[in-house]
Amino acid sequence: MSASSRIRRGALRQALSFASAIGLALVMGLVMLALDGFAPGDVASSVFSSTFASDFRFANMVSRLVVIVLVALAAAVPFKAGIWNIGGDGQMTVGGFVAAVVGFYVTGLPPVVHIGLAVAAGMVGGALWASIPAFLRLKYKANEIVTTIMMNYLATLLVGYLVNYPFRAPGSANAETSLIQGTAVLTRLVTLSNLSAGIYLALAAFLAICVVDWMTSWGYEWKVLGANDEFARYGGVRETKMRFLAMAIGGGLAGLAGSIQVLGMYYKYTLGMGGGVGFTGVLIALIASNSPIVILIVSMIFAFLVSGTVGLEARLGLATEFSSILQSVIILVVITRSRLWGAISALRKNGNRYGQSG
Amino acid sequence: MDNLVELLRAAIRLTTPLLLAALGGAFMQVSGVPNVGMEGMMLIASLAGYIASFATGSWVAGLVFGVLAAVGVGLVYAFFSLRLKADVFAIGITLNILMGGIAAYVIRRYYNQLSVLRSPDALLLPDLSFRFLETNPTLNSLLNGYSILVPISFLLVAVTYVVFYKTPLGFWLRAAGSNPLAVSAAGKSVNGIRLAAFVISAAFSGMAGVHLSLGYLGMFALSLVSGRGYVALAIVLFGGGNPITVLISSFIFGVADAASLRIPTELIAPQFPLMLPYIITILAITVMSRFARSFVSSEQ
Repeated sequence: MSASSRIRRGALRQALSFASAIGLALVMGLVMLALDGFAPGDVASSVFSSTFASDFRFANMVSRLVVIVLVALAAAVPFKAGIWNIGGDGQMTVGGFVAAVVGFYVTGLPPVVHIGLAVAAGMVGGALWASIPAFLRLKYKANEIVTTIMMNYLATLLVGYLVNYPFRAPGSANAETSLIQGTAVLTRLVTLSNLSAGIYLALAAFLAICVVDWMTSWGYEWKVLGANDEFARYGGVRETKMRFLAMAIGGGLAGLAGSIQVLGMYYKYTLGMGGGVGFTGVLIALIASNSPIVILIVSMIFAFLVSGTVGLEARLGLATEFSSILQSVIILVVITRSRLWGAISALRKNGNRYGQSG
Repeated sequence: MDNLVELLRAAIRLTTPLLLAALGGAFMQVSGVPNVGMEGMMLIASLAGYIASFATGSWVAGLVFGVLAAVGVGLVYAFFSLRLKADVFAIGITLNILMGGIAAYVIRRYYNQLSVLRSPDALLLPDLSFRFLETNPTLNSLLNGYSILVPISFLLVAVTYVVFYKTPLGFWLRAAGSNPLAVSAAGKSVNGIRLAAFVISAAFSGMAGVHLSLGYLGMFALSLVSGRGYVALAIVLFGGGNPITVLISSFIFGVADAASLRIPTELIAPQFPLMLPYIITILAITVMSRFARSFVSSEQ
């Protein structure tokens, strides 16, 4: 068997494994709901009602995809380089807040420039927030799983203070900033929906990550680092620099997600607007960090799940957190399946070896 | 003085959940596997314990069901980590997210609540007073009248110490962590030893969760645990699994936690004191990793 056909078969097997795992998890979800007294037909029609039922619903689902794919990359890029980023939520919070501040206080700029400035500021905010745990890990070896989660709570509290006091919109009953200037608004693409021109920014970021991953030495160095640091060091990979960079880029992507929410959806920073979507990104990265394309596909499925549970909440009164149950189950099933595949192929390989020697 | 006693009492009450979870985490840590799933174990135990308590009118049932729920999570965690050899960090984080989803689903579906569950029928954990402390007013006001898991958690420090360093179980646990190959060579199953550690650790996290809902707060909230499972992980990591270090660190965090809720808001916006436990965790894990490198760093 030639090497390329072996790789192709590997990719096909992975795709099939994913598809069947996700199908299995969805069936499990339906069975769980059926056992809990919800007719599968009602569940399906509720899910349809908030996903594909109209242009407006579909646009909202795509707007969720925009955020999910960015937070998934925010976790996946560092993950690939062998460093954890569970802090997507915090980076998104900080990035979104910074974008809102630039969007409100800077005036007199032409729209494209203003949007560019606000987005850049949001991305830098997220990147800086991510670089704190990255620095502590790379310089002092402080466990980044713990520190990035602590940074999430700190971001909520810090931005919570800022929007409650110094940056609170005058006269507002809620903890939120003033509305951004018109020049900083990302145009809405579908009437009344949350889908904005931010999707082009996300697409650009996604393509940039694809290019880095496939065509540059960074992508290669990250892969080597994630697979085996000792080998990477031996091969001359700049471990500290590359990991720091991966984390900062991750933070920047989460910051971009927050900025798009602010500039294209809320037009201000409202406390709690991310709604914990960062963890969805972490889950996706766990099973898909090896390929941006797989990340995109899994993000689509998760965006569908998240949007679907909105319908389940509206029609059947279920908590929207039901989607995080399904997401985690999918991850567990995929991990189980890939382990089983690994065990089976190891068996087969051993069998071959014995066959050859005999 | 009264303020100080009140602060210390609150600190002791808030030390308990961290101490219980981290002591349990130490069992897994010394056997060579970090417990990243404590957050989810605590959350599901606090919910299961609270529901069992108001459904049966018995705090014992609350404690038992809370611990059982956490042990259930621990068994799933062990299955994926030991049997399927999946990454313990990945599975731990996934299980934490799953438990968050299940908790939200349950309180919405069965009790029609968004984020908080409270019932007048819930029987909270009883307070415990020691006769011999009542003669001294200072000791009495400082050390008596805590909910039952508080004294138990401090007792368990001694128990854990004895188990780790004076019993065969402790010997094998530590051996599984430091030299698994030797354990296999001696004819013992490393996975079997680690499975025991998963179950013990989950049970301890379960008690921690039950203390939060039925001992400390008197109700359940989705934000009840809010990172304590990860703080406990940090405590285990920089103590390297030593029960005495776990006790000291947990108390420091308990004081920070209690102080953060008591700094008057006229002085400073409430968000800043609340940052205290998280900032201390970050600083502590950063400083301690220089001393206990192998335990704190991600590279084990």
